[in-house]
Parts: sequence; structure tokens; C-alpha cells
Amino acid sequence: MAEKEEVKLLGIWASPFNRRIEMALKLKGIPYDYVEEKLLDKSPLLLELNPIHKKVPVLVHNGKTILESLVILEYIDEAWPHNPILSQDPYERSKARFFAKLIDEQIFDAGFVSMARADEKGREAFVEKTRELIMHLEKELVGKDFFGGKSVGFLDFVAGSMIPFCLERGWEGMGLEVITEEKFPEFKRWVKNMEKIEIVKECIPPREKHIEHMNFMVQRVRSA
Amino acid sequence: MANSGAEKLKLYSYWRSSCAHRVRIALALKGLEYEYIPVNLLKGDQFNPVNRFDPEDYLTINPMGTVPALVDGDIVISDSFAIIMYLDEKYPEPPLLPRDLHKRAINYQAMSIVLSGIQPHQNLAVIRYIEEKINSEEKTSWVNNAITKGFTALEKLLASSAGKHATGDEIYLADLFLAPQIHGAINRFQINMEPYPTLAKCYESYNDLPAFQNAVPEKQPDAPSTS
Repeated sequence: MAEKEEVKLLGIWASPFNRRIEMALKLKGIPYDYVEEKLLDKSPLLLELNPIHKKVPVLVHNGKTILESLVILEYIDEAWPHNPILSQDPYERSKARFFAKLIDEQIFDAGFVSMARADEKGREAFVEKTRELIMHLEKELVGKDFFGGKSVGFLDFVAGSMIPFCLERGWEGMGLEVITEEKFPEFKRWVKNMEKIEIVKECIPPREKHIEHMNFMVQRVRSA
Repeated sequence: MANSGAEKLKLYSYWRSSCAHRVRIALALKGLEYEYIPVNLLKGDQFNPVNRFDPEDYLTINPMGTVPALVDGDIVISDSFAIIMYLDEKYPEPPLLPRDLHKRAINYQAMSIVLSGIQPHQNLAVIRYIEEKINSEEKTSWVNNAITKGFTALEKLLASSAGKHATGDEIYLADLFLAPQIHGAINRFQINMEPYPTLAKCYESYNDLPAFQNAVPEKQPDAPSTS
């Protein structure tokens, strides 16, 4: 093992964008200092390190600042190349990146932002839209234990942190059942697989507290 | 059955032990029946003098307290390599070592990389020690390093000798050591096998072999039932 590396992660306990970074760091056995930020009271350090977006996660590695969760995940894979989280194959990499974008953009929007803003009737439409989008992930999981194949990887961390361990809690708070066993058996199977992995388990926000937080976020989105 | 009529072999085993896994494959390949006696490594059974295999104390069976141990009548053997060589010499079919000297040496090398270069760095006692004395990240880092180093060496060693299996088209000693090691790496430590294409291909080649499939941890009598 090399000389002392300084690795610091600024995050918020409820943020899926942060939790996925922790999964990657834990998988690779990279020790890090964690700094908990407050959504409504961001530290001077955070504002200094991320003046453009003022968001978490922020990774600091030996004095260098890396921003944006998907960028950070790829940085981690490149800076610590053992036990890779992305495939070496360019086509597989492109698929993983494509689905990551789908999750963070379309699924996050339909499954949270737009759903939160809509009234009860409008929400039904966004539930349908979310289901349509997640069906693409359902198809990807056929015959696989994880998106990464036999072991967890980049897309498992992105999808896991966002859907079962974040959006689901929002849906529960809104009284909606989006992903059913009947229509999404592969997805449900994948979630069970994920819940058995030690390093993933450690990065799942506590359920009740998270549902409460998501309810707060729904209100926040509606009043914005 | 190769040993029908004689007293049945006994195997002290733990479902998740990769060392026991190797011996389970060997016994299956040789067509040998045996009594499976579970030793629970997590509960510390091996250090408990009053246990369920009364009147035998497990430490009197194996002073190292490790599994596997094989009992053949009056003979007690511990250490997976010693057990496998004993079985190979007592029950020569099918042979676990090729006739070609160089190929034999490759089998011994592959076995040794696993036996002393990788597995001891990730066995329960070591990883518990590191986790307790330092922390969880150090444990993961340690295991990752040992596996990366070992698998990289194995990949180089076997790249030119591999056929359908590790050292040719027949199953040999190296395969018995590779299969449990890779199984553990994937399932317990979430190791991505992509950087090791030869090893990954070998691992896939065991999928259709009952001797390998029936020996996996999940299928053992003492494996916890999955929900």
C-alpha cells in the first residue's frame, strides 16, 4: 500500500449522489474522511470547493477537487485501478454510462421532480412514465446477478443509490407503489442481491428517517 | 462407488470454507461417498471442547483448528493439499496430476499461489484481526491487494497452458484450487474478474461439471437457507 493518501468526501446522508461514492470507496477499500454537510446550511468549505454548483458530493484527493458523482466514480476507478467498477470493454462502458444518465436525468425527473410537482392525477402519469423507463433496466438484468455481471459495479451503485435506496422511499411517502414484483421480477431480484452485499448495506440511508426526508424534499420541490 | 464396502470417509467441513470446497470437489471427482460433519467456524466451534461430535474434541482432530479434516478409518489428515494428495494416491482414477513434468509443475505452482499466496490473506482469522485492530477499509484493501496480486500471477501462469480448463482439457489439481478461490472472490469480496480473462474462462468451464457444482458452499448441508 502507498504512502498516506488524503481522501475526503463531503456529502449529505440522504443524497443518493453521495451514497454511490461511498459504495465505490468501500468496495476498493479506500480509507476516507467524511464531512457531513447540511442542505440548508452549506459549509464555507463546500462553497469554496464547489462554487459553480454548491452541491455534494465533493471528493478531495491529495488536494485535488473532483465534482459530479458520475465523474467522481470514474475518477475513483482510474485513480485506484484495482478491482475495477467499470468494464474494460468500450461498448459495455458506453452502455453503463448511458443507463447512468437515464437514471440521473429521466428517471430522477419522472420519478421524483415531476412526480412531486404534479397533483394526484398528474402523478399517475409520472408513475407510468417511471415504470416505462425502469423497464429498460429490467431488461438489462435478465440472466445477471448485478448490472456489473457477477459482481457489483458502477451501474449497480448508480441505480442502487437512486432507485431502491432513495426514490422508493419518496414513493412510499407519497403513497405510491411504482415497482411491482409482478412486472419487475428481475429488478426485485437485483435489489435482494444488492441488500446482501456488505459494502452496499453500509451505504443505505436509514428507512424511516429517509422517508421523512423525502417528504420534506417533495414539499421543497413543490414550493420552488 | 470407489470405496463401497470400506468404512465411510468423514469430512469435517464448513460450507463457506474454500479449503473444504477444494476437498469436496476432489471427493466428488473420485466418486467417493463421505459423511459430512459441519464445523461452524463463525461460532468458534473448533475451539469448543464440549461439542456435538462427542466424544471427539475438534482440536484433537486438528490441532490447527482449521477445516477441512479427513478421517479414513484410523487415519486423520488435515490440510486440503495433504488430503487431496492422499486421495489422489489412494484412489488414482481420475488422476489429478498430468503425466507431463512441466504441466505438473504448473499445477503445483497454481495450487501454491492460491494455497499460500492468496487464501491465507483472506481467511476469517486474518480479516477479523485486521478489522478489529485497524478498520473495515484496511480489511478490504488487504484482501483486494492479496487477490489482485495472486490473480495477476495466476493469469500470467495459466495464459499459455490453459485449454478447456486451467492446464489443458482435463481437470487437474489447479482447477480444484482455482474454482473455490474465484467463487469466494466474486461472491464474498465482489471482485470483478474482467482483468483476468483466462481465470474467468476457467471458472465458466466448471459450470457444467456436477463435481464442481455440487461442491459449492450454497449447496452444503450446513449452508444457511436463503430467503
